[in-house]
This record gives sequence, structure tokens and C-alpha cells, in this order.
Amino acid sequence: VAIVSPKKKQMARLSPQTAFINIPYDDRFQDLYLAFIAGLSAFGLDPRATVEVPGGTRRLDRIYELITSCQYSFHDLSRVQLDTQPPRTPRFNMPFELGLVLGWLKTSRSTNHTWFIFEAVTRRISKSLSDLDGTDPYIHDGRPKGAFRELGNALVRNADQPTMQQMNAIYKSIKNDFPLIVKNTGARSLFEARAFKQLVVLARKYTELARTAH
Amino acid sequence: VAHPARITTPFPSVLETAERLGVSERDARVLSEMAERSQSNGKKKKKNKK
Repeated sequence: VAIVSPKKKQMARLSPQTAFINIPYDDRFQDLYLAFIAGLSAFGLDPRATVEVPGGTRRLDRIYELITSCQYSFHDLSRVQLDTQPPRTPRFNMPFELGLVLGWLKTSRSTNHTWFIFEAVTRRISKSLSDLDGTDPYIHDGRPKGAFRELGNALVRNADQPTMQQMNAIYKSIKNDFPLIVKNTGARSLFEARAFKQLVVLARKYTELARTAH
Repeated sequence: VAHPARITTPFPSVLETAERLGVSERDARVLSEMAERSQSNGKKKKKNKK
């Protein structure tokens, strides 16, 4: 019986074309959610997110499995405000999931996962999460165009570097189509598993069309 | 500022993405047709405006 080291086992299930997006699931963030999906698709990566993970007792295990199957992770820590629904609360999921990634990397000594931090406001992270001092976040200004710009700063492709126009065109297309996806899937919002998955497939198709148009 | 990460993997196809996310082949084809239709309608609208 061949003995597979934990590191080899982990590497075997790491999918190099996938990017975990760690973002707040609320309507105010919808445009940035669509922008991350469009931008990452344009770079040839398939976005994955915890909306895919069903609830239940094993949810945390499944989130961990999903995160550790991705080559890249993008953590948006810009939602630092309290939400509007009573009881008004901040969202802890994003820093928590970033902590899962960092804990995983510390304990597995994996060098095959790359993570990025995104924020909307310069220098705010040194107040909200000072443990990350020394890590430069990518500042997207809370706008889709800012997200495309910063994805372009974070990622590079040899021959097929997507342009801002391509990312914006994919974004506009999926934004135009999402009401139909929500209707067809019977979802209440885009932050549901089936709607998210369909949106990613749609973004992949628009990426293909954008690349063949040039 | 950190160096950007270099992506060397090829672009996944629509069917590869669908399979990875557990979307059926049939649904992937419907979504592809929807995108093609939407894009050709967009082009027609632009032409008409001109």
C-alpha cells in the first residue's frame, strides 16, 4: 500500500484553476460580488464561495475543504460596518475564513496557495485587523472598476492578460443576465448556491466570447 | 508591494467549469446559448443605434 504524505494528499486535491472568494453576502455588496466573479473568470480562474456549501453540522468542515481545494483566495475585508437589520451586528465570517486559510498554511506548510486581501479604504485595515500589519491590501475603493484594477495588480497572465474593457464587458453582461438566473433558479437572491454556480458558468462563457472577439 | 501571482494554467472551458461546480451539461448549454443570444442582441442594438 502506497503511503501518501498529508502534503501530497493536499496538493493532489488542490485545483489550480480555482479561486476562493471571501466576501460579504449582502445586497450592498452585489456589484462587487459580480465584479469579482467577472474579473476572476477573465483571468481564467473559476470562483468558488461558501454560498455553495449547504448548512448543517458539517458546514465548517465543508467550508474548510472548499477553501483548501483552491489555489488562490481573495478576502474582502471592507465590510466593517454594522448591518441594518436588528440586532445590528458586524460580519465576522470574512476575517474568520481568512484565519482558516492562514492557519491551514501555517500548519500544512503549503506553498501552493496564494492569498490576497482587498479593502475599500486605504490604511483602514491597520485599525480593523492590525495583526496583518506588513501585508498590503489591494484597495478597490468599493467599486467594480477598482476591483478590476486591483485584480490586474494581483494577477498576471503571460499572453492572455485580460483588459479592463474585457473584465467590464463580462461584468456588464452577467449583471444584465442575473435577474433571469434568479428567476430561473427560484432563488431569493444571487447569494444562493444554484444561482452562484450558474453565474460562474455564464461568466466563463462570456469570457470565452470576449477572448474570441479579439 | 507583493509581486503579482503568475497564472500559467489554461483557461477552463465552459463544460469544465460546469463540471467543477456541479452544474449539469444541459444547464451549461442553456447558459451558453443565453450568453450567445444576449451578445448578438447587444451587437444588433449597437448597429441600430448607429
